[in-house]
Amino acid sequence: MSSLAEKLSTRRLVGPEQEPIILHRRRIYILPTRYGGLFTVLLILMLIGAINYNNSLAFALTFLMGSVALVSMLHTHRNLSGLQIRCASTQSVFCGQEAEFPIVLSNRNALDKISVNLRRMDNEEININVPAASTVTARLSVTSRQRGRLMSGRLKVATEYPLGLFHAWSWIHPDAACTVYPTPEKNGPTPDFELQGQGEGQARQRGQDDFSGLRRYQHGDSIKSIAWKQSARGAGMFSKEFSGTGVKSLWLDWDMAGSHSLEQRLSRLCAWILLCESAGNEYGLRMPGHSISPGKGHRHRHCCLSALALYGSKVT
Amino acid sequence: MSTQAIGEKINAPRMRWLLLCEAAVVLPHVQHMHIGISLLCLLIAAWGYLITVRKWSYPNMWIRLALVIIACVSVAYSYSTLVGRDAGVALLVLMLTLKLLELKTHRDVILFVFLGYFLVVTSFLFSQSIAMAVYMLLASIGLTSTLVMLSRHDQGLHVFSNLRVASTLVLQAIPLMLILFVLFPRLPSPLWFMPEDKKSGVTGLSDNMSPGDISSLIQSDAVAFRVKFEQQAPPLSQLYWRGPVLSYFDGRTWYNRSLPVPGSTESIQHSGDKTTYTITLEPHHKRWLFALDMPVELPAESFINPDYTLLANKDISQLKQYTVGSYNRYQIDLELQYMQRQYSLLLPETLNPRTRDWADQLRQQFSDNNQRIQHVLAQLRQQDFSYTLNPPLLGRNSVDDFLFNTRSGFCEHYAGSFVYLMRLLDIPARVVLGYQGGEYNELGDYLIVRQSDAHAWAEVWLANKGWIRIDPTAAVAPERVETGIDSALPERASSGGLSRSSSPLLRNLILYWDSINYRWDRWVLGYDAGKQRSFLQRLGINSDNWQDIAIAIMVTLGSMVLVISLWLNLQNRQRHKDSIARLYQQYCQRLARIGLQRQPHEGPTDFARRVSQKRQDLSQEVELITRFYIQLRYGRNPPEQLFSQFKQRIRHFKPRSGRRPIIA
Repeated sequence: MSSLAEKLSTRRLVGPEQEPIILHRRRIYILPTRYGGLFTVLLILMLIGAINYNNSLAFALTFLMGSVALVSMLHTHRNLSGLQIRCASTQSVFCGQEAEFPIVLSNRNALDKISVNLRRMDNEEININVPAASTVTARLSVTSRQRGRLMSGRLKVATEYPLGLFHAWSWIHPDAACTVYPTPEKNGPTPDFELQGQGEGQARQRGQDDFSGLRRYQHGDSIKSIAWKQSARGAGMFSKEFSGTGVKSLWLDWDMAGSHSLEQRLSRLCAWILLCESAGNEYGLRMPGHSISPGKGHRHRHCCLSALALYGSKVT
Repeated sequence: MSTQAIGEKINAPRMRWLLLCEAAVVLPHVQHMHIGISLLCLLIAAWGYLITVRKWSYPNMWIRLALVIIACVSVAYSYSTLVGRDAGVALLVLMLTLKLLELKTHRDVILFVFLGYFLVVTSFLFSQSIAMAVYMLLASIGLTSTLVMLSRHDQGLHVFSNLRVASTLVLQAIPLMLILFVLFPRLPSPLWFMPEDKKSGVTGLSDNMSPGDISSLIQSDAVAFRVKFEQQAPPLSQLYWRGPVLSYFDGRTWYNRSLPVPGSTESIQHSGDKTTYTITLEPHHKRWLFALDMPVELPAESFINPDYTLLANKDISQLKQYTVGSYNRYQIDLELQYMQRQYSLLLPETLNPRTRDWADQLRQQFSDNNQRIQHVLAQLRQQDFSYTLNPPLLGRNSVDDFLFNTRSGFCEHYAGSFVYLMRLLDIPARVVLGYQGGEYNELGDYLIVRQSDAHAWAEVWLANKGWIRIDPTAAVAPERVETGIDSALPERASSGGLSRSSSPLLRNLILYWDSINYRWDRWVLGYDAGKQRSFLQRLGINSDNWQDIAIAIMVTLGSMVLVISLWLNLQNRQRHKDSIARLYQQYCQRLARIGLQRQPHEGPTDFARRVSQKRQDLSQEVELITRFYIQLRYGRNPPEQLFSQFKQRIRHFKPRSGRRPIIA
């Protein structure tokens, strides 16, 4: 496709759009493919033959094939028009892993949308059929190359169905981003932990020694601590609480991870967070200009890792 | 966006499908291609199949180049040329087949399909029959479904689904095709002249006649031409369709030696009734245009030669339509030039002594040429001459043999011998070839003239009368000219003549089919520059004005595309679900009118609760409608009658403002 067409077709798109994005006819562009061009040459040759031999059926077939191409243009356009697109929430990944943008395509029409191609920046692409009156999710995977927020950016939704003679496309810009954590450092030094709150002042400390009561299940609670008997009564999930001395509340400090470069330091902190989380320890994060008080669980982990991921970037 | 990875082999089911497509488009060519080329194609196709199924490796560039050279050489060897229709098609078929050996990428398969389309078009250069058109339409749908298959991203075959899509596309394209077919300007002459291919195996009259020629033609039921009369058709016995005139005799064969130069129609003195008729002539690859004696009003691009045969400016290699006006009473060549007179009396020396004796006898017996002719015809009538399709073979003195020994023959024997005898009597005479009579098809109100109606008759020149037609066959078998060949030849009717077979049902079916073919020939195949002009004139479009035509094409095509596009969108709309939403919206609008606006964040249930609180009197109805709506919109398999109930409720839901309903 010529760059002029690309320029013209992306002119309207300046930033992320409000979802769901509906592909209406004003934002669908269509041009012949190179096979469409070749087909035109073929038709011209056929027409010259028909004129020279003054052959009525050759005329008829030439006109029929030309008309089929014309009608296929309408079909190609219809195969895209009316499609509703939004991007579901993404799962954060560590840098170097495949980030996935779950693009949700809804077809509210009575006819299937066949072989719709989703492409991000001329790199990653995925082809998918969207049956009539249904919704499918195309998982567009993108290899994350650096920590931070990986934006979906502009995506091209295109199709050449049914004949491949025309290329219909539309540019969309979903407001979707994936948080890319730093790559955890492998075989790095274990931290020299700074323990906090060992004093008597702590009224209730969570530990794993003695059962002290039940509380509502929180996301991130260890599966071992779930009170299965109580939870089975149907009143919600409960976790057992234990009290004891085994509580270790740690501060992961920026300065502790002293290292050569910023990225290495972030990688090391990342590895420590994972280490603490898997050990079931509470941990806090102290970074220049930012600190996260100790805690644990899935949400806390995400909070800390995001802080690392977005460190130094303008977007927060 | 190539959805198929480069270098990926085409899978076996797809290969089978492509081979089927190839077979379908090549099949009509097999009958006229050299057998060697067909075998070569079969071999290459088998190789291509094995590459896919047995995972053989693709031949490299050098092998492919060698194959292309072999293909060219074999075509050049078989046809002794590489250009022209026949060789070109053979080459195209080979190239299509060779493509099977390199179907590596998406692009290769698409090129294969495009070549297939081209081959479909070339088959119309050989036949334009209805059957061929239907067959090729189906083949094109098959090829188009291959394109559909390729535009899908998966590797599946989906034969039926793709065929359905392709048929839909073709059906929707047909109205556009008709518009273009009718309006696209046709040129009266080709852009450049194509080399004519040698045509073999076409049945029809030739420009010479030896005993047995016409009787072999009589076996063919092929249509020579069809005639539409503008007025009442003349009786069959008067329908002498004039073809080439044979004036030179070498003792066995009569030859046409007339020059293809225009004579003058002014030497025709005509009177009587004029008959105007349009002939649709099947291609016979000669220049004659058949016409009734005597053509006076000639079609365009034609002329009458000095023998009064109507000739076209070039060979009739395609279906040809022309309109002629003929007069049944005429006088031609009242003055015969010396050269022509000598030429019309020319005979080989020494042959046929008994006929010479008879001629001398006649010369002495009668003083007048007219009497001599009448006597000869009376002899033919009275003696035991018989009219038969299978006459015995004749010796060196063929006229003697025929007149005095075998006495059974066909029209060429009678016409030839008669002219021979006339020349011996010093009466200038010649043989005329053509067709006589025909079969009237009441279903289409036209006359069918078949090869089996081929005939030969004589013309003699008499002072003050000019050339006069004499049909000696009519003297022997008058039923031949009065009712047709089958009543004169019972053996033919029983042996082959399908069209004139005894079963009336079969006969009617054949005539019906022929009338469809006639219309096809006349309106589809014969739609040329002239037809287009008169047709467009009837629509009020001046076909000389290119702008008018361009506008007409654009307007009709544009509006047709618009109609199709609207139709496609209508198809795409989910009618049922849409109408549910529309009805619900109607309900919301009615409530808004009495001050109860549905908030954007409000779901149907919340909205209903709010309305019920504010308007106790509406609560029952509102809750019912909301329940129906939710069930229809979100429920699993809502019952069929629910929709109509919902529709009725909404229609009757007319809330009025004010807290209390008015009680009269």
